[in-house]
Amino acid sequence: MSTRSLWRWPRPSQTDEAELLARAARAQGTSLFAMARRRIWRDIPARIALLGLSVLALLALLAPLLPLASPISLDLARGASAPVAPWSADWRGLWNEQYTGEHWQYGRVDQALHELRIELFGKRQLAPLLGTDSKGRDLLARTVFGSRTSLSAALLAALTSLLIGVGWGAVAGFVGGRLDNLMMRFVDLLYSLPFVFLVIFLVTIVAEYRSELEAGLGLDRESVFFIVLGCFYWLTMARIVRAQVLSLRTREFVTAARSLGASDTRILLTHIVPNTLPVVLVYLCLTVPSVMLFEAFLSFLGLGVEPPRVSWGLLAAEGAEALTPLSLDVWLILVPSLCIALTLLAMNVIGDSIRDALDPRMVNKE
Amino acid sequence: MKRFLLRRLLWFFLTLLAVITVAFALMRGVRGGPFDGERPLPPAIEKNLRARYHLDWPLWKQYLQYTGPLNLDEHGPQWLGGDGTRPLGGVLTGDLGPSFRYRDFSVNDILAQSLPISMQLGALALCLALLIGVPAGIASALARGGGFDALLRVSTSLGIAVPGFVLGSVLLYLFSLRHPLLPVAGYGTWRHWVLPTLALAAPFAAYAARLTRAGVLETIALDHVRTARAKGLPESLVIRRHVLRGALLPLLAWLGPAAAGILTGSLVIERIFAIPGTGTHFVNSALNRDYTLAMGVTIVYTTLVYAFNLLVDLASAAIDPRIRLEESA
Amino acid sequence: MSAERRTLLEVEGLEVEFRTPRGRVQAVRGLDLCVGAGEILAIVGESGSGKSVAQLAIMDLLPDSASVRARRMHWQGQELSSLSRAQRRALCGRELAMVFQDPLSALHPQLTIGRQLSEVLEVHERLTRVQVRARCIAALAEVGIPSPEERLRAYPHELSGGMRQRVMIAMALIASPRLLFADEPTTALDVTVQAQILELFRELCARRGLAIVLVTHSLGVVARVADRVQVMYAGQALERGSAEEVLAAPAHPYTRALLRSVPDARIEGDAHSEPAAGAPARLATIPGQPPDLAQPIRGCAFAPRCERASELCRREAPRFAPNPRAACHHPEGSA
Repeated sequence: MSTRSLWRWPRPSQTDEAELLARAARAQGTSLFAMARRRIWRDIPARIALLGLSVLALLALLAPLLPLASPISLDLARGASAPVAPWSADWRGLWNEQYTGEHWQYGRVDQALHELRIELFGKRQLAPLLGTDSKGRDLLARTVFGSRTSLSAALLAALTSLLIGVGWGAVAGFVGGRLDNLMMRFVDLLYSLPFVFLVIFLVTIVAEYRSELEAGLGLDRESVFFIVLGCFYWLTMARIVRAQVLSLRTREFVTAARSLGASDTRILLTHIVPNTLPVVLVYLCLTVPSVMLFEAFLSFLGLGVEPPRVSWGLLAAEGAEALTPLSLDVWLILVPSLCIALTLLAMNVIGDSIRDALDPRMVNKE
Repeated sequence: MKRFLLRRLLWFFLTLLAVITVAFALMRGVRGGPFDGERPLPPAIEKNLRARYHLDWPLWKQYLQYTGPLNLDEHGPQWLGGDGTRPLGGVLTGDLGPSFRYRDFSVNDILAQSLPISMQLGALALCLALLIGVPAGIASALARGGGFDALLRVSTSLGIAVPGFVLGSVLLYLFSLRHPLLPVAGYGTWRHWVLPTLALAAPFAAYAARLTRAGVLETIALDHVRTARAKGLPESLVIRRHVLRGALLPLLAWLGPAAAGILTGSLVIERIFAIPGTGTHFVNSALNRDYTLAMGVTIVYTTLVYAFNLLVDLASAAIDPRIRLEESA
Repeated sequence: MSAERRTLLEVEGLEVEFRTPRGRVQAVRGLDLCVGAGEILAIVGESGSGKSVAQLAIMDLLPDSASVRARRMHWQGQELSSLSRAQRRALCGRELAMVFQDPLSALHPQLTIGRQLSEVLEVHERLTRVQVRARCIAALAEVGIPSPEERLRAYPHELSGGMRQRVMIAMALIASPRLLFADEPTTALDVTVQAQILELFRELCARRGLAIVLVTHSLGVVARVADRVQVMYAGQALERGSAEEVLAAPAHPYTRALLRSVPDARIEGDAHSEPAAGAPARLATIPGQPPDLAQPIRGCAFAPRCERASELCRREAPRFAPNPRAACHHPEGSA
């Protein structure tokens, strides 16, 4: 064999080099995120859940635009009526012309949507496909409008918890030392306070000052309530983020970044916080159902959303009260409960899917 | 160990103080009082009531009177100007004050009556939840991917997703109203316990099953389980000794918040099934602004949860030697 | 195979396949090995060569997604695949034992060392408590742990890395098995401790007549302790023979390339391992990547990266004939 080794890596010629660069540009490494995205999409239940939630969000957003009955219009003469199957004799058709246009105070966007609705559909509205409650109010309309409150509650609380929690946890974990100690002691203290009781206290307090809040800040009781909820949920988020940051801080890529001259803030913002994203996401997916349940819980006790506004929790509470030996209005509790349950189910499925997808150990597992 | 317990005790007092202060500030610092209620009272009577409950005192004095340990009213110690008949009082001596609403009863009386009921309900529910949830979770993990596993995953998802009051109402409807198998409401025989316990336990059973399942699945894939098999241990021993110990740790950690959750869940369940427990009193007291009762219940519940958490921490440290007690203080 | 060594383990045609979401992955594609009493067989190869999987397959420790096939898998004359799951499990610890790479994760974190040792005896032998304790102390002493009585109540995380590995070895050997599988036992340890553990292996071999199958990716380890060595690549063995021969005069181009990539390696008769005078020394590497194990392989697995590859190599898979040392169509020493 010739003494000139063929395996000594030859220096590429000009054209070869260009070709190599072109090939490198084309080759796309799959980032962990891209892999995760693909894996979530491939998980059928998660895909269905995502699609379902998107549809729900869309409906909730456009609620004033949809040709629904008014959610607050009373019809005491009619009283409670069950949903009617299309094939039964009592089927009165999909539409009727009885839109009353009643609604609670709308903001500007909703007002515009509502006016557009009147232009498009006039007095046409969907018949009470899901039945009516004891005061004759259309359940379908109330459910759709209720979804707005329930979803926005969950989102507001989740966002508040995200902003405060991630900030608090990241700073505490990254800076360490006495500041960390102090910050986490504060969290521990807040953690040991009986959350539910304090919320109930707060709610009763807020009820006192409702008129001031509405006039001054333009916030209704609900919004304040949800922000308050978020202020409680950030505690766990802060703990989780801090734990993540602590483990990330000692990882090699941080030392590498430092050795390249990156400042602390830069490292924190561009390296550490994005790496906490998976854990944060999973926890968010768990917070949302938690908040929805809690809102339902408070509404049931009469401390949550106030009429004339609706939320799924309030509807479920009204439905629960309608269960008496005399009346068989099961649909009143079934519909909102099913909505809550399905939404929670969807969020849990998505949360599980994200957690499984982003777990690097699952990459090579069967 | 002693330092750990001492530190926990100190922390507990601090927490309690914070709770009392916050609750006190919230309730008193706001306009409206327990007598702004349904029926307007004649001004003379209202004035008397206010004086009796010291609502005309400055706030700081009310606060001190409540927390104790000295009684600041006319029955207080002689060196403070009182007649010395009742020198001590306040939370520090265990006196939670008089109820503003139920005027012939003190908070201690009301709690003595209702707390045992609530605690019994809570304990039963927790035991039931564990008895159902843990074995189900283990079975589902070991039979992973099978029919039972799928069934369990669906039912636990539902169990978590359905609000407690919905389940309670539906159960009440099905088993008491529609088909009168069990009593509708109240408290007395063992039959009265069935539905409330079930309704309260259900979401916790679901959660316990999920946690156990996840714990087992995660532990069973660990290296030391493979080592155990390599040593020739039969599979049942591997599961019992090597998998379960680690798998149950997250479950144990969850028990603390779960106990707190059962207490809050009982608020709703007691309302639905008309059980004369502490939860009912709490909700009413918040609505009626019966300050002392509301605070009293809060204090008791905080103490209970704290004690439970302490037990859980001790148990965790006993199971896993890597957990050092000082760290969890 | 020297005459005085009794053959304990004979495996022929071992194949291991995993079901994954990406498809079926062939981790081991036809492996033969045999080990005799008192000898140390090293299996060396890069990550993904299938060396660890082969060991786990013989011990029946692979997950259910793996399917294991072999023409023959004989332990002391008995065919292993004809045994039930429980029977095979009973062999583990008693006749066959294994130590793993990372002792911190391989030992149970919540049980004491003593407990982890004694449970092996409880399963395999009938002894009194006193006897069990004595055996545990003796096992720890044998692997060179000082003050063994005190260590019985310690937990794994309280010991150093080297001690933990010794504990794992003690645990594996306490029921006196004949064969020890060692999966990269020194990789997680630092160099001085490595040397001690390897020395321990040699002693155990000599003293107890223990057979050891040592999986490693380090040629240095092979040089230190192995009697015989097999070089694995992409699930197959490419070269095998006595450690001395293979390391000094490798027949397969892959082995040669591996040895060249060790800095400061000098191979007799190999001009390329001497850096040219005046030229800057470069880190030698093997160009290319190992093949994708999810795809079937035609011809020789190493051909795409081999400097001596020919059309024959790409077409036909080589066997250990006519050269019993190397599965190669153009082994070193031929044209």
